[in-house]
Amino acid sequence: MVKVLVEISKPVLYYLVRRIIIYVVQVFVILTVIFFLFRLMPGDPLTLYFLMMQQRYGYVISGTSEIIAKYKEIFGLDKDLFTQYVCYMRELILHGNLGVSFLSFPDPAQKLILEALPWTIGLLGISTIISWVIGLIAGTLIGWYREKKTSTFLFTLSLYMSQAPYYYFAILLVLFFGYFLGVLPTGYAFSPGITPSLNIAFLWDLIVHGFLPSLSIIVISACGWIISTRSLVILILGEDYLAFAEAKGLKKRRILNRYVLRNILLPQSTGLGMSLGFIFSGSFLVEWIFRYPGIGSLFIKAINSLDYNTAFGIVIISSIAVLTANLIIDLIYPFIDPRVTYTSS
Amino acid sequence: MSKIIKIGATIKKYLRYNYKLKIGFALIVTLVFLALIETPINYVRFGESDPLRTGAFGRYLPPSIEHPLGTDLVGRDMLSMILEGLKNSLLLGVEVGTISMIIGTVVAIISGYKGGLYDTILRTLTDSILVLPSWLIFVILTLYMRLESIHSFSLILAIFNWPWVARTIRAQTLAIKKLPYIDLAKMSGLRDLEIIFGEILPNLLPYVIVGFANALMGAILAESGVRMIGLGPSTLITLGLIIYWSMNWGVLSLKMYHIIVPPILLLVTIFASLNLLNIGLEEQFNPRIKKITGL
Repeated sequence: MVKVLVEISKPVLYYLVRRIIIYVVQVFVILTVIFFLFRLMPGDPLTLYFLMMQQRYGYVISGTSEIIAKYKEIFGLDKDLFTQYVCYMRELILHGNLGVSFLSFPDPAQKLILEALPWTIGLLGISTIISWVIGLIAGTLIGWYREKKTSTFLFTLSLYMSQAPYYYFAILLVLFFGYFLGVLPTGYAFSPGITPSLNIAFLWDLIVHGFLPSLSIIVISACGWIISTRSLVILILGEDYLAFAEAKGLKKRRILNRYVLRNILLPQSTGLGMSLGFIFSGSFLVEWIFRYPGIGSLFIKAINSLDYNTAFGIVIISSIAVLTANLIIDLIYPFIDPRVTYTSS
Repeated sequence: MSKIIKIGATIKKYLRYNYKLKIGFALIVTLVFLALIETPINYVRFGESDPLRTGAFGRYLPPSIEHPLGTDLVGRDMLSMILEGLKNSLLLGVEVGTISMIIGTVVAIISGYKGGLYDTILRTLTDSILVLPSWLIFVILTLYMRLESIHSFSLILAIFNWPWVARTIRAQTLAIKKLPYIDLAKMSGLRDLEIIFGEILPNLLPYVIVGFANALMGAILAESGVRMIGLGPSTLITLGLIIYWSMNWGVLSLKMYHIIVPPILLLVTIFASLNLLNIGLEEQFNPRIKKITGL
């Protein structure tokens, strides 16, 4: 531990500390911006909720406006904006309390979100990493062996599939594997009737149920990585040091591993951080189609039943998650890339 | 007039050898043409009556000469629905693309060319909007604000989309600023605006077009995503809405493939053609890739 601290030089340390301070400021600013964006929106969540309940369940209560006023007083929505902001921030930062959810009434919103979060992290984490690895390897090979017919065919296929939204592919997979062939389950995280415990049967059930959602994310993301990696490899192929290595007489495989791959890993690692936010928003509908009990289904359920607090809490949590992921990648970056200098700019 | 001829000749020169650009361009032109002839085709087929009102024809009619793609659950002609959906989707994408292209380019050029304090402020603004989960906020805004018209949709989508354009163009501006002929232009006494419009902007044009295409795709994707949940105005028919309706009516179990396949095919064609355009433009204009691929 002491050795690690001694090896970190001063500029790197300053960079890390500055980066963490920027992160805290960013989180705070994002929370404020989202809060004011939604509070200044026209349309009142409570009134809409009452109207929706009246329409859906068919009875009209007299004195609705008094009920709404009373609830506004309970939730603190009738004070002026700045007091609301201070109260919300205090609840959020000190107690971690996101407010009461309309969806399941006495439960606070953060209880619902914390129950759903591990499922999403598992699904997205595994899918992102697998698609990154597959995309990187396939993209390098496709860029390196550019003349072969398989490369051109795979590249054109990736071109068409990379921009498709995840849920289109998910619908196709559900149709094909779930209905026509009937081999894979079409929904939920594990079969009804199995008690969750750490045995092989339950884990296998989890894998079987999570296979289709993660497959739809993996295939489409991998196509995107293939395209960007291939462009990078083509760019690197023009560099002088590769020509020099070949002139020295190195074997092609060694050039590929030592020179090309290392130079690809750096930009693609930062790209991984940036793509996390994108995959997050794309996977919500995939979770909804497969009824996978993650944050995506929770968000859409909250939207459909007009549960303002839960939806708002999910927006906040996904912003913080994206910021945190970028922070982690920025923190690891000095240890990966020795070339970067950290002067204050 | 001569400028238009010159632009046409340039486009033709670039299109001649680059297959990806050719096919992408051709597909996009076909789709725009299909969207533009929607009103004349409706007039020719149906006269003055509106083929999109509920109950205009019988329900679930199979494809025939009169209704080439049949009708849907409530009796609207599917071909006019799909053409109207294509028109609205493309219109939404073009509006979002234009607004975000203009805002993004202006911000990026100011931030890249001027540098200093302008750069810091604008870059912080850009990065902050990039971090927000834009689709989630868009869903909540659609739900609570009860958006009706296509222009409000495009405005909100453009607000979330311009930072992506600004980010690429700022990187390009910084790279162009280092080139020697910019110093030459400054030394010969050209003013800032003349340099921007005369030297920098023509070099940025391919990247601006790529930004426009990406904004178009992003807008259509975000809008179909919102439709899939069931939100959004049902008077504004877009391709995403047709797909949502057909999934809700269970057309796959009814084996009515003529209802669900055309909108999905059209969406995939829009995405594929814009992708081809992007890759073709990058192969053509990025000088290092051009050296390798030899076009």
